[in-house]
Amino acid sequence: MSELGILFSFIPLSGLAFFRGEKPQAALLWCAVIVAVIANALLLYPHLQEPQWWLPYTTFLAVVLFDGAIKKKLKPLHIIAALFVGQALLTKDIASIIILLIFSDALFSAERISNLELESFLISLTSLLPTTIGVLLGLTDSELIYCVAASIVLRLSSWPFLNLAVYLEDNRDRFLTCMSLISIFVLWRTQSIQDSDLWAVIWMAMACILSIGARPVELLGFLSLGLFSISPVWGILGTSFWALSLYQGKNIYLLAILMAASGAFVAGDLPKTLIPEVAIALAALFGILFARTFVNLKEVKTNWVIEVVGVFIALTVGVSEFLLHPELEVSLDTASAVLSGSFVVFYVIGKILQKTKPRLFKPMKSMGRLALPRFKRVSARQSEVIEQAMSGKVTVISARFFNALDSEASIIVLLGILGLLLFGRLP
Amino acid sequence: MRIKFPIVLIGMLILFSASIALGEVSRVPWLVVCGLSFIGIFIFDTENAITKNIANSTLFLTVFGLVLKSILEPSVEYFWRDVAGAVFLIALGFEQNSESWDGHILLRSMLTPAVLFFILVMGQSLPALPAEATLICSLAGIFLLALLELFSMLRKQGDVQTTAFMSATRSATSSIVSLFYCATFLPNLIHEAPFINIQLLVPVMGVCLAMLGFFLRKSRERYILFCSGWSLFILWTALSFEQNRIFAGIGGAVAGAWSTVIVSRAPIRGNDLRYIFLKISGWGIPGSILFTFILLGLLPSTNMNLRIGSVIWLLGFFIYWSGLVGNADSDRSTPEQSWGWRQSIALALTIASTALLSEPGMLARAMSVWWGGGK
Repeated sequence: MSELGILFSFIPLSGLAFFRGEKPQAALLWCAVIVAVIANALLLYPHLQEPQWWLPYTTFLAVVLFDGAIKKKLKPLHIIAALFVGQALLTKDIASIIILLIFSDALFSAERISNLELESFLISLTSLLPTTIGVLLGLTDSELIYCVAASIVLRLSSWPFLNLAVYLEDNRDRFLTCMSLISIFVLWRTQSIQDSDLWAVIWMAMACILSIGARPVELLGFLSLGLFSISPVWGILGTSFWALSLYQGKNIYLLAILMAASGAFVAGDLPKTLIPEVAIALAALFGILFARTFVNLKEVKTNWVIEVVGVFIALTVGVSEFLLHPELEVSLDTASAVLSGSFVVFYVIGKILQKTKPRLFKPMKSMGRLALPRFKRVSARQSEVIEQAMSGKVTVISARFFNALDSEASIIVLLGILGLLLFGRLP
Repeated sequence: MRIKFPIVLIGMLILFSASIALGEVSRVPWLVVCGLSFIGIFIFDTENAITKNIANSTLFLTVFGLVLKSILEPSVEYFWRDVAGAVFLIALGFEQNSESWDGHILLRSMLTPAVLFFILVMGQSLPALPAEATLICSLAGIFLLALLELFSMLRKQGDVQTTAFMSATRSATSSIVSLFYCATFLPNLIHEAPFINIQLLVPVMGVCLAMLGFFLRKSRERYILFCSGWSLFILWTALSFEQNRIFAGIGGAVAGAWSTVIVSRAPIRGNDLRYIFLKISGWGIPGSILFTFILLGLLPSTNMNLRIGSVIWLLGFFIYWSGLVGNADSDRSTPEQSWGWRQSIALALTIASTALLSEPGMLARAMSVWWGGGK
């Protein structure tokens, strides 16, 4: 069976056209789940001797089952969508991965399709557009990596468009955020990265820039990509974040520790790309920005059993990785120590200051997001304006675009990107 | 109505069987594609517009017969003659099914492009014309057929009242004509400059068409643009000269005709996901038969023109899909339809077709074996 064999699950789904009753529909949906599971199993079997393939898949499966057990009601459509992501985890071809992710996103948002509200589908497609264009143009190596990186930023960050996870999920349900973490891992692992040091810096810088308005989980995603760029083995260790990102109870503190640790590890790689003094200065800045994000994070009341299971999955991944790869070494640098130190110091200061100056730690909500185009909602008046503009009578300036640009956060982001480009040119 | 349905169906089957019996072996796959497209249109005609009156039934049967006959023709001149007849009847069908309208007749009447098509067909047979001019006439004719419906959009009122089956008939005719012509009669001149650049020109036209949607408010109007764009997409696959892409185009031609007739003007009933999905499947969203053929048609290629063309088409479809964001403005004057067996079959087909993507190579091989006798 090919990498896209899971698409056979659409055959039982087609039976939904003939039945309206709850029971027959459920039977068909579960049939589709079984087909998807078989497709996953057939693709997993050849990889049984390769832990770098089966370990992330097992972690993913644990996360899905864990989430399903907590919610006590497994929705078949969501399980099929998750199994599509699972199939993507076992797939090597980037074109197949794009197709699997599109279908997964479509299935996740299927329940939200009401009255032709298809914004979620458009968000998904927008995020995958750069990679799709890269594949269609036949780009390879670094050019394709840039395209994949653009897709990852669009999938994970909430800027310039709201990402699918934020669009679909409610505050307490982080399952989709977890899925977007997995999907970016899927996209990034297929790339044979040549400038791995540079990419580690880029992902870390991206995490810092977006820490202004992004959520901690999104930063974790970027940091895990940084880890993967340094070494795929470390990247697979980063998959332990998946289970911890599901529920934000007491384990947010564990997440903070892991984030500081992975940040420190990536910072240890900075001197390979940057001048040591610059690397240390940046590590300090990164520490402050990461601490700022975590200071603001509120703990959600959660059952301790849920916390323990999440930690158990993360620990199992970590221990398995160390057992399977005994050659793993932790090499830290001055920059690592500076990042960890500044993170801890500013986290403590932040917690104290938060009571008197809470505004300092609030994430910027108006990140100058661009709304997706809504060509359909052109009102009669707008049509007239466009017609006048076409005839040269009026000059139409897209107010939405400038609104997005003039916000403070957007200027910071643009400056950050400029800085990022300059970093790449430093010795 | 109950009597008309089997009568028209038997009529179609007789025409189809006769063409299979009379045709050469190499033409049989094309006849089957044509039969599948038109019989599909008839079966999925949820508005029952084909059997509504004798005029519609006769027009539909005659167009079907003419397209079948054009496939059987041995020479390109006879082929275009039959197609011109079909185009004229399609234009007549549009006028027959549209509501009263006003405006300048020359630009807004569907008969104008039909007359232009006749002129182009006659032009091709002039012995003094060089081969380049003949090819230009043929390509212009195909473009005109693909964009035929745009003329109806220029009307001041009653602009988009045409029933879905006429759009589907035009779509099927245009797709089959372009695919068959490119596979059978297209001269080698097309591989030389400047004609080879048509591989880029067609996607650019498709995107321009999609961008026209910026200025349209009714979803039905934008759907007309989508159907015209789909015909251009099929033409592009035919001009790719890559076997797998041409097979995708052939599948897309049948799927496009079916989808066009499935997307009726009836408003969506409540929150029934089946209605919603069936309605939007005609726009080629994931999980629909059109999406399957879009992916198969945009396969990566070694030809740079086709690679760029694929990206342009992707952007074009993205623009169409962007138009779906927001609330639907279905035509409220059309009565709601009840869910029937036709809708069930259409929905099941469109969802099940996604499985075709799982083994695209196998599909291409199967079609290749089937097409073995053809060109």
